[in-house]
Amino acid sequence: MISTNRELLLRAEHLTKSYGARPVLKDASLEIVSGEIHALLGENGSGKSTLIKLLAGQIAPDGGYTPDNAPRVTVSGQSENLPIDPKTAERLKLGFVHQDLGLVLSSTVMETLGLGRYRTRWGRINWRAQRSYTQETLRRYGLGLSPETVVGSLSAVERAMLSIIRGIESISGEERGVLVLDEPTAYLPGDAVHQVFEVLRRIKATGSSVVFVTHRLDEVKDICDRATILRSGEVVATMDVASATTDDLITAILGTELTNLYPSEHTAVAEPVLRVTNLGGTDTRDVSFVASRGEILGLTGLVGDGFEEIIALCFGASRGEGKVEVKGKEVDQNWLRPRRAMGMGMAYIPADRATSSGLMAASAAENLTMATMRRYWRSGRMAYSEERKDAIEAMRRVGLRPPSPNLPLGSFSGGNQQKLILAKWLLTHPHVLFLHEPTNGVDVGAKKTLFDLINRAAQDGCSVVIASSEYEDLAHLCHRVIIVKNGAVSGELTGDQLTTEAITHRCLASTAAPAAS
Amino acid sequence: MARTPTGQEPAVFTATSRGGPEVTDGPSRPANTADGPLAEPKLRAHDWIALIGSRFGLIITWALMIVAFSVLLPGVFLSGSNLGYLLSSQATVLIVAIAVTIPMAAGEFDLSSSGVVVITVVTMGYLNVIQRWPLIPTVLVALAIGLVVGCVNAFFIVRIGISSLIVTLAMTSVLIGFALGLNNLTVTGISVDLVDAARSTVGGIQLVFFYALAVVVVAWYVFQHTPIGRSLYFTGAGREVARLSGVRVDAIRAGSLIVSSLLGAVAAILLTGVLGSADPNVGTSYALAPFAAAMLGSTSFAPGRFNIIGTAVATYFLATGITGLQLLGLAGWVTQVFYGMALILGVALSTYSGRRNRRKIRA
Repeated sequence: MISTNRELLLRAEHLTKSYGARPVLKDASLEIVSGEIHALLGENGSGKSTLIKLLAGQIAPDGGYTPDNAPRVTVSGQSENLPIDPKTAERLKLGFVHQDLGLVLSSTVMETLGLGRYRTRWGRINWRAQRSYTQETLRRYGLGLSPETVVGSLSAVERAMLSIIRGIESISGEERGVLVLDEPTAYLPGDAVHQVFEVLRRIKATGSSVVFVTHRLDEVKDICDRATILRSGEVVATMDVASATTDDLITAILGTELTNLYPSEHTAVAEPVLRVTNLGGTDTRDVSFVASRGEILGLTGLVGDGFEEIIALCFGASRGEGKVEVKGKEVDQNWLRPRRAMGMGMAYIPADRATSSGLMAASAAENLTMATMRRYWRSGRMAYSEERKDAIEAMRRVGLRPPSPNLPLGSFSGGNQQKLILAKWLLTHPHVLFLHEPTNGVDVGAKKTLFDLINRAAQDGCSVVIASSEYEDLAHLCHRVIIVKNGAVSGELTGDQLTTEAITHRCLASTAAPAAS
Repeated sequence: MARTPTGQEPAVFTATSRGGPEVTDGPSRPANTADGPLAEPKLRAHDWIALIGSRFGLIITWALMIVAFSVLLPGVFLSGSNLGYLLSSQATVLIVAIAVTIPMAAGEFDLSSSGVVVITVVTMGYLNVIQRWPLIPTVLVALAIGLVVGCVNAFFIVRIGISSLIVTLAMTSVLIGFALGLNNLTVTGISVDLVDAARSTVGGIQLVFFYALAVVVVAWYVFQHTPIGRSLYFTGAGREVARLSGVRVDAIRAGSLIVSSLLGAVAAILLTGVLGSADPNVGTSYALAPFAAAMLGSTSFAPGRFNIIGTAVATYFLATGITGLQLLGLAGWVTQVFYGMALILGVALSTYSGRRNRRKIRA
């Protein structure tokens, strides 16, 4: 039930959409009350983004309806049939922030916030008024940026916050609006998300509402008031988040219970495979640690503390100093290049799939054999049939079936892309596997598969090093977690001490606590 | 051996993923359908037409063009002498087109090819005719020029990190300037050996065409059947991904630029043989045509990728159009207009088909 002081702000109903013969959305409806943060949940393919695209007028709903059940959106009493154009969306106070944020990197913060609504005087932009408006707006949302800062120099978090502020500012004047966020936190590290949430809370406080699409259920518990869950194109539930457990949400999303998201632990062999000595780069210094055969080692900290740089340095993806030893072979970090690191038995999967780890336009098979293509170079030509066979085999192994090696990587879902990229590197049979935020932008089902695969690689003798700010995942998956603070190792958690709370505590603690042993 | 992930594996194959920047431009694919989570998209009749159209559209248009000109110009267009002329006259353009396709595949533009052609041609005339050098040393110097230009380009583009468009555009100006400084008049009397080697005919076709054909075959083989070809594509499609996967991207980029300039020099040597003279004004034919061919070629055979067969077919496709129009009585100006339009159209087509393909996959 909607409480008395909260009125219905948005109602979308009879949303139906099919592609060809396949229905993607079946008579879905959505209700948003004022001053709430409303989660829109569902697996990839459940119809979330179709629903949002319908709301945004990017796609048209199916025809063939009667006037009674016309697809329609009503905001603050004004009703419009879908599809609506951008002008109408603006009039309805309906705003959208897409995942790519839509920022112009070369423009300044002031220009970004002023886009489309410059304060003019006699036809020319009144930069003074524009400037004070920008400062006032930034202050209102608690963002300490200078109006002249260039967007390209902002961090990922700041960009996300800026885009959200622009979104809400462009729709909310006197009246309250609804801002739809399509996975704004997808590429943000765990602790940075809280800064974005602060902005959302301030929006909520004004009586406007936020629709929030995400895969991260802990975020839902953290910030959302209600959640609408889609499954196979149908709205299966709308629930109050406060009274639901994470398991309730998972059950509603999958339709069945997901048992054991995390694989059971195995014991690592005390045989050092990777030994890092006095490693340093732009954000880190004097980092030393050892990883054993079969061990899953976590590296974590707060963003900016440099934990993710350590694995890039180990692989030679960036330049620094120190020594790296794999299976008894010690080399200078200076000497390392990705190619040489691969020769020593290292594998590295960066967090950003689209720009660093996968070629979206190339086929699945080409991606899979990218690191191992020389194997297929036999007597003067590429052995294509063999490559295809291996690609199919690798796809089977990571649970993609039926395996279609000819499809471009970009046509797979985020989770399946990540599985393919993991498979690509497992084909190199690495001694050490470095992973940076391995479950970024991956839904909960695919996440389980990835964890299983990582665990299995470790069981097979690989030593896995995960740099991540997903504290809960690290606590469950790793044998040992190293906390990095200000670019240096500040402590280590293992065994019974290794809990989500302990990691969070250690990361947030202002001074490095001495490592308990 | 492979343990199957538990049955909870969700069916995921959709544009709603957070896979990358493209996710916003297509409708999502419904999952959990009867034909499984990851079925290859089933092609219907009009999809097949679209597929054939995008793969072989260039060849089909070419065939239609030939039929049209044969009807309009009975007995002239399809005559043996015209075909022989067509194949021979475009052979050096074909070599340069292949040359520029190589760095383009690796993500770099080499605009300096016309400059390389001009400086090499002028040097050939200067050394072989004016200075009375024998043929072999002249050719070696010509090849060395190509090598040096390629290395200088590679140094500034790969080592210093300047945009290839800027470096090679400036290089063109430098080379043409030097060429005019060396000799700005047409020199006749090139070594008979070279003229014979280039101009002797087999079945009405000059030998130079067969040299070009050999270049095409070798380049095609490298692109299609060697790890180098794969690495070229990876470097062009995503340099950082390629680098982190152990591809020597800098070596690939530098190598492609050097090979491009070298092939430019080879084309120029053959050109002096074909013409029997060294004309400092030959550059204009090589400024735009190779790029128009490479761009247009990338829309066919392997749409979205620079490919050798595409470049080769597009070179002759463009030449056919120009020859036909000239035989119909349109004057020399048509060449410039045609190549310019073909370049714009080629890029427009590849952009459009790229967008369409992406949508097709996601729809």
